[in-house]
Amino acid sequence: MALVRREFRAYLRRTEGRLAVFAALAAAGAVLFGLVGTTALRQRQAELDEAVDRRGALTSAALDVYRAFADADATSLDAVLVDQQRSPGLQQAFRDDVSHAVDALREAAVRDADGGSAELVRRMTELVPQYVQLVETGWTATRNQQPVGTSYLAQASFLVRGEILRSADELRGEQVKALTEAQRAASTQSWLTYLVGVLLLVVLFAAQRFLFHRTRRKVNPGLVLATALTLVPLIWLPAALLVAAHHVEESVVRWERVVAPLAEARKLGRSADGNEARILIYPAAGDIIALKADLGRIRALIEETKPITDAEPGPERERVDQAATALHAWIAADEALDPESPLPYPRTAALVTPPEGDVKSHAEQVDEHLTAAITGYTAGSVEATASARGVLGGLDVLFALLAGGAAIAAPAGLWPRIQEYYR
Amino acid sequence: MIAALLLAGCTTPAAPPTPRSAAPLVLPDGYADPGRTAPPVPDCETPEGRARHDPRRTLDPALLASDAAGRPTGAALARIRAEGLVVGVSQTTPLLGRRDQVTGRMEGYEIDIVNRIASRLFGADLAPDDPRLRLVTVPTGNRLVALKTEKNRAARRADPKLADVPTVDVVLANVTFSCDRVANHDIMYSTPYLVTNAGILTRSGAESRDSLAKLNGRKVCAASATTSIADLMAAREATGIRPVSVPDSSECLMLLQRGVVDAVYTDYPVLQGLHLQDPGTTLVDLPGQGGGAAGLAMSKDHDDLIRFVNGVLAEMRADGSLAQARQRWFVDEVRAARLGEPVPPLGLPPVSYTG
Repeated sequence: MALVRREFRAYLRRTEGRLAVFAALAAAGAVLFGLVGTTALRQRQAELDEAVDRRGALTSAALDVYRAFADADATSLDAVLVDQQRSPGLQQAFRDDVSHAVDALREAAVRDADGGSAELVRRMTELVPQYVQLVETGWTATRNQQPVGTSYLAQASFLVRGEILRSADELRGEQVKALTEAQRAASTQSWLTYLVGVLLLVVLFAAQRFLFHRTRRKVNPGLVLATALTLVPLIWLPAALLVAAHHVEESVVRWERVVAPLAEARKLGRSADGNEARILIYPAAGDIIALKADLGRIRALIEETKPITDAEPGPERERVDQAATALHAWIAADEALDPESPLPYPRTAALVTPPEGDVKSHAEQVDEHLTAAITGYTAGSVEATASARGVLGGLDVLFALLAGGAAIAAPAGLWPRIQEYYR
Repeated sequence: MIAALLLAGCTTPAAPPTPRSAAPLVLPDGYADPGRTAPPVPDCETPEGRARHDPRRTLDPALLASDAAGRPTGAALARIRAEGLVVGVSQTTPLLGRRDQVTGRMEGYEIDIVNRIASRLFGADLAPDDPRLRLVTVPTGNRLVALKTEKNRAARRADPKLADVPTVDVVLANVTFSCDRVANHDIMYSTPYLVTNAGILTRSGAESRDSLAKLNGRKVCAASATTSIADLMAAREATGIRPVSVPDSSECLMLLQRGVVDAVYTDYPVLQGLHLQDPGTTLVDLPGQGGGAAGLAMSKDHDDLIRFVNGVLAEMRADGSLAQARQRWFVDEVRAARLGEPVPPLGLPPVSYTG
C-alpha cells in the first residue's frame, strides 16, 4: 500500500501526472459549475413559475374573498332598505357574492392545501353557512315586519366584519407577502455559482500556465475553449438575473405601491358602503365618524398611488382618476349625514341605498373603477413577473450544455499532451 | 392462540376517526356573560342624592308662559318651531315603537304620543313625512347622550365616538325612571306615560318555565345596563339563573330563537312585542316584579319643553286618548295576533308636579 502511495506521489510530481490532475480538476470543476448553475437557474425559474401561477392566483383569490364578502355585507343590509320589488335583485346579488367568495375560498384551498393559509381558509369556510343563515333569517323576519330581523342582520354583519373579513384580510396580507418574497428570491444573484465559476477559471488558467512553462506551447485549444465556455455563462448569468430583477422589481412595486393601496381602498369602500346602511338599520355610536374616516382614508390611499399611476398614462390610470372623482362625489353627498341635524329617514335611506335602474351609487362607482384599475395593474404586475421568467427561460439547459462542453474541452485539450509522455 | 395472534397481526388497525370540526358559536357584538349592569352612581347611593336626582320630579304645565294668541312660548319651543322637533325613538320594539325599514314610517304607543305632541306644538296634525317632525333612531346604550345637556356635552368631548350620536330634543324609547340616568345625564322626565312590571319570554314546551326559579342553571337574557339585567344579577344567587346581556332586547329574542339563551326577562310590554314576532314562545307576566314607570326624557335646561310635554300628556290622560292608545297597542293588537288573552296594561299613577 505504501508502495502504491509512493508511486502515485512520484507520478504527481512528474509533468504527465500534473497534467492529469489539471484535467481531472477542470473536468470536475466544470461539472460542479454546471450543476450549481443549473440548479440555481431551475430554482429561480420554479420560484417565478410559483409567483406567476400559484402565488398570483392565491393572491387574486384572497382579494376576491375579501371583496365578495364585503360586497355581501353591504348588499345584505341594502336589501332591507329598498322596496319589496327591488329587494330580490339585491338578495340575488348577495347570494352571487357569497357563491363567488366560496369559489375563491375553494381556489385558495386547492392551491395552498398544506400551506400556512389552510387554517385561515378553513376558519372562513366554517363560518359561511352560519353567515348565510343569519342573513336569510334576517331578511325573512324583516319582510314579515319583525324588527328581530335587524338583530339577525346586525349579528351577520358583526360576524362577517369581525371574523370573516379579518381572516380574509390576513389571508390577503400573507399571500401578497409570500408573492413578493417569492418574486424577490427568484431574482437574487447566484454567488455560489460565480465562486465555482471563478475557481474553475483559476484552475484552467493555472493549467494553461503550467503547460506553457513545460511545453512552450502558447495556447492549448481545449483549455481556451473550456475557458470561453466558462466565461460566457459567468458573464450572462448575472446579466440575465439583473434583467429579471428589474422586471421583478417592476412587478413588486406595482403590487406594493399600486395594487395593495388600491385593494385596501376598495376594501374600505365596501366597508363604508355597509356602514351607511348600518346607520339606518342598527345605529351605533361612532358609525358616522367611522364612515367619514373610511372615506378620507380611501382618498389618501388613492393619492398614495399617484406618483406611479400618473407616470404611466393608460386605461388603468383613467380608472384611478374616475374612482377619485366618484369618491369626491360620495364624500360630498355624505356631508348631509350630520348628527347635529339628522335627516328624515326617507332622505337618509335614499342617500345610502343603490339608486333605481341602471344608475350606480357613488359607492358602486368607486368600487367598479377601483376593481378595473386593480385588475389592470395586477395584469401588468403578472406580465412583469412573466417577463422575468421569460428572461431565464431555457437558460438552465444552455448553462448545462456550456458547462458540459467545458468539462469535455479541458481534458480533451490536455489529453494529447499527456499522451506525449507515454510514446 | 397462535392462530389468534396471527389473525390479529394481519388485521388492519382501524383508521382513527376523522376529526369533525364544530361550527363556532357566533355571538352578537356586546354579548356579556355574566350580564353587564350599569356602573353604580355614587350620588344615587345616599338618600340625599336620591332626593336630588329624583326621577319623579317634573314641572307643572300650568306655569308655562303663553303668547297673546294663547300659544305656549319659551326658548326651546321657539327653536323647535323654527327648526323642527327631533325625537329619539326605538325602532325595534313593536307595540312601543317599530319602523318599517322600507317606508321609514313608525308606529306604536310611543309614536302616538309623539304625534300628539307634534300636532299640539305645530298647531295641526302632521303628515307622515312632514319634515317638522324627525324620528331619529339613537344608538342603543347612548340614547340619553342624545339630549342637549351640559353633562352630555362633556361626555361627547371626552369620547370622540359619541360625537355622531344625533342630538335630539326628546327621547321616547321606554326609558324607565332611574336616579342614575338623572344624575348621569342632567335630564328631567315627563310625567309617566307607561307603568310596567317584568315578564319572562321562553320557548314553548312541556317544561314549565314561568318563574326565574324554574330557570335554574339556564341562561336568561336582558339588555345591557338596564334595570332588567340588574334584577337578574340580583336574583342570580337565589334562583341559580345565568344572566347574560346584549345591547338591545331585540337581540335577546334572536338568541332565544337560536337556542343560545333559554329566556328573555324585561318589561312586560316589551316582551309582548317580542312575543308577537315569534308565536313559538310563551310569555309569562310577573306582577309586582321588576319594571317601573317610563317617561319622556328631556334636558333639564328646557323648562318650557318639559312643561309643554307634561301638558300634552295631561290632556291625553284627561281626554282618554292615552288610555285608548294603551288599549289599542297592548290589548287589541295582541288579541288580533291570536296569541292568547293579553294581560291589560297597568294604570298610570296620579300626577304630581314639583315646580
